[in-house]
Amino acid sequence: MRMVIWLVVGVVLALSNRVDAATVRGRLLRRGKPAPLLTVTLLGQLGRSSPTTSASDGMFYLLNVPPGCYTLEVWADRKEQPAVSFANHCVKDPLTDIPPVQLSF
Amino acid sequence: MSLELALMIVIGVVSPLLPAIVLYRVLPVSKIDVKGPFKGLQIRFTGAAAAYFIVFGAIAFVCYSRLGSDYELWTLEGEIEAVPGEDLALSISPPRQEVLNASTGAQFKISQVPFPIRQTGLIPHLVVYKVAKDGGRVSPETVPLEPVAFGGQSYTILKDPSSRTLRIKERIRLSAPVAAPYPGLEQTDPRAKPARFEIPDN
Repeated sequence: MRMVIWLVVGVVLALSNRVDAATVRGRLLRRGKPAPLLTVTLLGQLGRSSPTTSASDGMFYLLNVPPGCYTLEVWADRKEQPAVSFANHCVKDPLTDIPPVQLSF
Repeated sequence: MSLELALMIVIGVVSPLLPAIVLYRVLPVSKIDVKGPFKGLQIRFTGAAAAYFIVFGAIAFVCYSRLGSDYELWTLEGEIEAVPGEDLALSISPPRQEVLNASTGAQFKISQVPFPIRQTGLIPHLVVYKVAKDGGRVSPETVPLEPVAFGGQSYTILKDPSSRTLRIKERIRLSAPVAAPYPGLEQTDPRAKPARFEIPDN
């Protein structure tokens, strides 16, 4: 019986520690128009995320993002640093929307 | 010409003089003798000139390896889950380079993909676009060619250094975007003409 209780406690603890991954969604705009084909990443405590690319309507989707606060990075070509960064985007919901990002480059 | 390159040329030409003088002073003249074929030329140096040639050759070798290209050209192979007739486009970024417009999808092979051989180089990623024929939006699929900490779909990149080939193990799937409406985004009319991708002016 005691073993079963410990097993249940272990399973509950394991499930409580599980990190749910979220989908982060946003839109890139340049001079008010959708900005397609730009690379977007998130930079957080875990490092830099997998890159994603904005679609023809400027929308981008980052999948499997663990909860936490991130800096959104938008990359221009042939650069070793992101063109623009927007700090403090916190991911806590399964679908986290980032407000439209206006680009000036 | 970059400052680094100019500096290396000056160092490569001037710096062999010092050890050459030292070698010439230390060793008897008859002991310093360089002769034989070099890059198709018959050379014969003695004394200080020979010492200079030896040191210059050593420094030039080091400089050449330092100034060599930061990238190697690899071949990228993979497979896309696509229906024949779909408009597909593949691009490597960075550098942005339109590499293929595939009308039949499935297997692809991209040659001359620049892959960095130094830590500072940017590892490219593959971007696959598809324009949905029904006017719906399909988000481009981005395949990083390096391990990433989190986010995105997980792809396994198999590297074969002998043939300089990168192979994406899993089939690339183009997924539809999240259905929930995005605040401020006008809804797409399903009957609207599909948008065409254009390379933005950066």
